[in-house]
Amino acid sequence: MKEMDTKQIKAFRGIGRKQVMDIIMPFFLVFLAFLLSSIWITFMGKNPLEAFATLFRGAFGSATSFANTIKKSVPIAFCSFAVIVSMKGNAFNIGAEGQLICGAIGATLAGALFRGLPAPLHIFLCIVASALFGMLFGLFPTMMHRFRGVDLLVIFLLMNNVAEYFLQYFVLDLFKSQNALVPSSRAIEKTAELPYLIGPPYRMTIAIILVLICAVVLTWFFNRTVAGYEMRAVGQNRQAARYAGIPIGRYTTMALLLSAMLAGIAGGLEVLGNYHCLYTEISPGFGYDGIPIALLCNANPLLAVIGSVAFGALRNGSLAMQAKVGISSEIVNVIQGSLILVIASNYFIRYLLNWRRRAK
Amino acid sequence: MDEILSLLLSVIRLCTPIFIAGLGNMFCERVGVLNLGAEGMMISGAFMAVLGSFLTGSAWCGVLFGLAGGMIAGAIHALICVEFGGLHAISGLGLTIFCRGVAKFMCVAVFGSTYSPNVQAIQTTELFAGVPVVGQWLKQLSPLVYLAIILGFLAHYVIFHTTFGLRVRALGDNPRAVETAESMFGKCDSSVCLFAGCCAAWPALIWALDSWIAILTV
Repeated sequence: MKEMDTKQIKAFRGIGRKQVMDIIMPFFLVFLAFLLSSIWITFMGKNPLEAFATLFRGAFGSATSFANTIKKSVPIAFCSFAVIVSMKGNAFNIGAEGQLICGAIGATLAGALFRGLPAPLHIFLCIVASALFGMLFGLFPTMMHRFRGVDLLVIFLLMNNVAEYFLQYFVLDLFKSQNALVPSSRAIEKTAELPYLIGPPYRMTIAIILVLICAVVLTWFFNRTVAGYEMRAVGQNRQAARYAGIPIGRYTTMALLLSAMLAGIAGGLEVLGNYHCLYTEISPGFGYDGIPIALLCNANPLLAVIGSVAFGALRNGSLAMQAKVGISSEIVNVIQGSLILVIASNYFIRYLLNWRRRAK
Repeated sequence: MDEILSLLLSVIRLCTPIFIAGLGNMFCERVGVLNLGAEGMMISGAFMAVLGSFLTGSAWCGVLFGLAGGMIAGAIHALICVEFGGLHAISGLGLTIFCRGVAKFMCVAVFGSTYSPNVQAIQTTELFAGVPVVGQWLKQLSPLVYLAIILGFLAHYVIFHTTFGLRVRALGDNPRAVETAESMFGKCDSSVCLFAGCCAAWPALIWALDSWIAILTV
């Protein structure tokens, strides 16, 4: 009896330790990624601490830079939601980049072609159009995956290229603006532009509210609805879900389409809120940013908001770093790449961290 | 006639890189490792090739450097996928982003801009210049193209006629069975990943060293 008690206590301790690890782990992984990238900075003959301090100041130093960071984090947040939803449904959407581009195209079309609508309706229509375009772009790979068993990763990755080149055709030829200095598409109507939440020096649009609403709705969907529960079940254990009579294929398809929709909205908000027209460089890899965030925050939409602010800070601060310390803003890619690599070797790092306990 | 022939030559020149990259990924698929990081390996190889050629002044040293570059990227992929048991897709994706960033970053650090200066290149095979009738055409292709063709046949031989090839195929079909038969699971996987890295670096080498202005526009 006594022995059993200690066993139970030990089990409890084990759980506690694991939970602590789950919380600490993301921070540790981010730290490792920064450590890895500081090697390159040192190699260049610069002080990594100074560089990261500049990065931090560039991202959060003043009110304007903070506003810019938040603005940059909006599309990243939606992309991370997209990846999260697909992960919950036992799939992995790495085509968020392509869907984002298509969503942006949809929003531009709806914004420029519909005329004379009242502002709220027009904005609503544009967002619906971006979601629809993103979903339609995700439809083909999803259907190929479901009915023909095509490898999801490969087809999504290839579709990204399709979207990228179609965007160039769209902006430079199909829908180009006649009187713009920089090659861009026709501008959207004034009524389609997102209203400002905080005025012109900061230019914060209502997009941030949409992000928060989306995070809350997703959390509610996954934790409080039957469909969300069943989707999670499919994501966590396919076999068990099948035994329980949950239609796996349907949920995977649903998750992927929902994910494509969210990625499309990310592109749409970027057009409606920031640029008001379409450029060829609309996305500097926002779709890929969503992946490490989704993995780091363990597919929790609310934590993903925090994660995307951090990634927005990285992107925004790197520009300041380039200007002040003279380190190429490409260091963002290095940090992000090492972060993904470190996440991929997550298990091994956990194994190493447990080394001392195992030795006992 | 001339136009058709030059078109044919440029087709060969352009398809060789894709062929070799495909060869490397074929090995990866055979052994059951998803190689989404091929892009990263290529970028890494291209950068190292230009760097090697720039530092040593010899294009063939550039080739060796480039192969090493691809191999390092392949080794990272092998380490994460095979030794650490990470997810292949995530590792590959990370590798691509990482290599792109590092190559551009190092390009700025070493050359001072995102373009490298002109480096020594190998464009023509003077060896074939003496061949009657077709010699003038044959010499227009880089020796790397001929090596690539040889490599293609070699790969077929290795995969279908050697013990190593048998193991590779068996691992791809049923890793559990191979593991039961003998414990060489990891070793084979890793070596193939390394080889795939080499293969993926090859096209980049051709691109980088085939043109006089070996610019690195990753």
